[in-house]
Amino acid sequence: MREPAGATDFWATVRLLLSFARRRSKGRAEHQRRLLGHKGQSGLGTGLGTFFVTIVALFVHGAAAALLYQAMGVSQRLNAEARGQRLVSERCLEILAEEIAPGKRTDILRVRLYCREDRREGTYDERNARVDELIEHYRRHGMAGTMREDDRQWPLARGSLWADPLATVLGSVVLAVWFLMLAFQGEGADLDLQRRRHPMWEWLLSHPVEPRAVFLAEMVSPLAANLFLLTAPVFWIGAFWMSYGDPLAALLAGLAAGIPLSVAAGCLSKTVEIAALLRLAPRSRGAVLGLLSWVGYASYMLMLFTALSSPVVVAVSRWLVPLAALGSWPLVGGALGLYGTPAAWKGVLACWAAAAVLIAACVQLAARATRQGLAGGFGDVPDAPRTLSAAQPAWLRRDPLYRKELLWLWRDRGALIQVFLIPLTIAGFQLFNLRHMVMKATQGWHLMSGATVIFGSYFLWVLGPRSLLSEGAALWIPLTWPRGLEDLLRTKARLWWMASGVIVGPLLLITAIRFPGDAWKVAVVALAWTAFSRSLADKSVTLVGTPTSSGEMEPVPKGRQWAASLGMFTFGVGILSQQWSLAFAGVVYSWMTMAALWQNFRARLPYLFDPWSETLPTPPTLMHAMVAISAMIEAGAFVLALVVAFVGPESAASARAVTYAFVAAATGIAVSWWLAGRDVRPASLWRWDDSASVRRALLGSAAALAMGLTLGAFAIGYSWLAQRVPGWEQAFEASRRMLADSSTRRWLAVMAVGVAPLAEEFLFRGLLFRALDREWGGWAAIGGSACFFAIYHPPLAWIPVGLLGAACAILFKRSGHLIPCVLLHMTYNAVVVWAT
Amino acid sequence: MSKHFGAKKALTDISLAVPAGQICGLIGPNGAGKTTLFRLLMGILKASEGALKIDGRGCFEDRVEAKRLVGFLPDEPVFYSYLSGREVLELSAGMHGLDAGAAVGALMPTAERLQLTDALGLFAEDYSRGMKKKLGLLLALLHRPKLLVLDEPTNGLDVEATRLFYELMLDESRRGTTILFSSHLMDQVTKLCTHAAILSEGRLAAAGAIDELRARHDGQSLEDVFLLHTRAKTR
Repeated sequence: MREPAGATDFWATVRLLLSFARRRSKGRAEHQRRLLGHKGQSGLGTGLGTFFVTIVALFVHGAAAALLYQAMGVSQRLNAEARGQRLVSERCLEILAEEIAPGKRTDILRVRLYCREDRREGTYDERNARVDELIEHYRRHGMAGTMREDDRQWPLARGSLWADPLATVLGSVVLAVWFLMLAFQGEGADLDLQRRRHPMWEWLLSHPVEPRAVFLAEMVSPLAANLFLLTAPVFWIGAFWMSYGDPLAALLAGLAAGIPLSVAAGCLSKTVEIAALLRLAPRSRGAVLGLLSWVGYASYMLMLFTALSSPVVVAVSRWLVPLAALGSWPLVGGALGLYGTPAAWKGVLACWAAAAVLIAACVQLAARATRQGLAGGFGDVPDAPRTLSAAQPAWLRRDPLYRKELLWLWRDRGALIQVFLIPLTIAGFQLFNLRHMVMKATQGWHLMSGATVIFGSYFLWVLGPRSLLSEGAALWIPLTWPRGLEDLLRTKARLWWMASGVIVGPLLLITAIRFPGDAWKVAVVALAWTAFSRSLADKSVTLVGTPTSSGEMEPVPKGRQWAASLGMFTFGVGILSQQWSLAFAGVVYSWMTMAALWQNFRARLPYLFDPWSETLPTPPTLMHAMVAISAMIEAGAFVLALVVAFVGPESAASARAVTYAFVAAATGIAVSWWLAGRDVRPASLWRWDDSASVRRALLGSAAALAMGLTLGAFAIGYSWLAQRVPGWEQAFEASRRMLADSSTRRWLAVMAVGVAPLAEEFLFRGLLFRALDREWGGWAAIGGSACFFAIYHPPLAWIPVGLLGAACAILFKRSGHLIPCVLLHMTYNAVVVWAT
Repeated sequence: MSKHFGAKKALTDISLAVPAGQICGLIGPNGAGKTTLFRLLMGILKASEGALKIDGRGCFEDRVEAKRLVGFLPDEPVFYSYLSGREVLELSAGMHGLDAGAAVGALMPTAERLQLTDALGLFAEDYSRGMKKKLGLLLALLHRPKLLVLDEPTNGLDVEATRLFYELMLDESRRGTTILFSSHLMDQVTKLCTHAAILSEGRLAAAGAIDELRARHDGQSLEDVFLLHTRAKTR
């Protein structure tokens, strides 16, 4: 393209645009700091976040270099195996020769000590099993069956390992995956799949500047924002160090090679993005951009996890062995300057050449795409949308939002990538952390079900914050509807819930088929998952991000993310460990945190686009109650441990009672003081509302005594029956042994009758039930608060304790005072303690 | 009312009343605060001081009910890339609690007048700028609102469509709909409006019936009145 007459100089244009890209990045960060400052939060979090991301980026590039090192080493092993040999260290070989001699009794432990692989090669037992296999192999084949690990191959320039065809293939694959990971990181933000023409390009290109200068600046700008691109030279420093062994030379060569390759990676990413935005039909752009994002993420996770797990490296490398038969791949040797007389400068020159060619090609392609794209020519874009079948189910015809979402999934090719491919990939990689469990999944119904449930939980966790992606710039339309975003997000949550069912359901069905004797247990898990996943889906949509006026997504505060993750894995862990009580507690906890998050979210929703005006929800909220309860439990456990350590285990009973009293009082005072700072009078927490009267309090107290005696009697009867249930008598026996001591019984009575009712009624009814009633109302609030109260007690006591919780909630609302609830609780506990 | 974004004052001491069934033009230089005012009326933003009401209902406090009374057309409407024009209308009708088929059917004569009927079966995202404006206008009229809030409604419309727009607005006004729209075109405001409000740097420089405004300024044209109130500030 000819430079227009009077046009600004090419490099001056690039410099100008890059300086503004830098300002844009700074402006974005400054806007975030101001917003956080306005909300009373410090900008320290932003600085810490940047520091943390930098550390992660450095780690990932270092891991990639380590992976290159591993790949070279693995090629030795696989080559040995191809010849029927085992690769061992020199010391291991000496030990084998000593221990496996005619007439000598082999000291297997000694052989294992010197021949066992490092921890990343699997579990302890697995590594020992491989050593035992090595011993057998040596017994059959002797020295000829082994190959000494050649340490002289390091650094690479000294030996010929790097030239081995398999090593070149593995090294080249690592290099390619690393480059892909880098190229498709973008600017680090979620891609806006609905983005159409870049708003700036047409304006920029209307100036007398060269289009290639505009696009070069556009391509290089992610370097200003994405720390992964800035830290990329770390990979090359590691690679050159591995090749030449000289740290200083590696540093210089790594920087010299890494920087232009970072630029080339950014250029490639932007070129593909530009071409997609300009040349593809609107409903295909999202798919391509989503795929780019997926490639970047998948390569990043693949790099990270394979570097941390040698068995995975070996397994993947085995798949690539057939490619070595085609010959050596020159990528690694050329990039590191290993051909001929190895020299780092050769590798640097090669990298420069490759980067220059790639950058030039990208800029030219981008300019060409612009010329063709801005002029139109989208090929055979269909004008009319395909319609859904006329025979639609009634619920689909009735609900416009479901219909809209279905059409989004059906017509927008990027939707499936955003809804399924990316979340499933993220969830799948997260399971890598649980790989030992996953690998053993087929050994038990609980392992397979637990892994499935955790996978489904991750899937929903990733999906929720993306809920407004389908709206894109059309978000103004839902804002004109009476119930606006709330209905939309609720619908999204239900859809994500159904989507998770589509994934988890078949996996649980396979589990039931695999373990027919435990099929009924898997069915219970499936039923529980239906409830649990619903709460998880509703929670995750509260993390939804909204675009600012400039198009960037507002970040979700870490505290909110943490709150939403509470109880996320309790259900799965309960299934894995076959603890039904834990699984049930996980479901209850998830529902409660869902209610708490939605209460806060509903208060925040009107200010989603006006964070400057945001006000705190009316206290006390569910979140306040849950934090207070959790704080009391955690602080109580911590203080009790200190006290028992000080006074000795023989005084544990008294320590428990005193600690509980102290921590409960402290919690109550702290909560009251904190809420007073938010204009909630402490006395008001002991009343339901201002209409509470003394008469109602007295009537309530009388009812409390009667209800307490009745429920206490029920608890005694329940306990009598429960002790006769097979498998439960042991738990009761343990309890009886603990209460054999009279001193223990006395302190338990003090705690149960004197302290616990006050503390628990204040927290569970005064705060929690009050807030839950605002959110759910009616029997749902009563039942929910009762269940939440019950799970803080031993599982065997859940039924009577749950009934107590429900009775207290009803009494609080009817009498208008908390004191009758305290009396009810005291009476109940007194009856139970007396019977015990 | 006033609206601040942190230290930035977007609107200060705005006090305005638009009588029912009237057409009021909101005019002002760029950055005067017109869009902010519209977003306040839509309940998307909350006033920092004071309140906005539509038919006695608070725009923010009673936003669920207030949105049933308001039809909004943004300056640059963008639509879902995966829905046709008709489907966008049906979706909005459903979300307003209306029978989608009946509501969209009732809108067809207006769609005919705007010459958009044939395009309603196509993807809305592929419409030209003018067609998007027309679809946005249909969307605003869908639920028969009492108040129409239109941001630069004729921006992107051709001559014929602009004339149709004038006719539509007058018809709506005769039906008792109150209309508030922003424009940079003085002749449009003069031709259509009974009232005008001039915003400048976030303040209400002048407001009232157009005839009264002109009378207060020695019979000057609306354009002169506008320049009088805005030019001194922008110099």
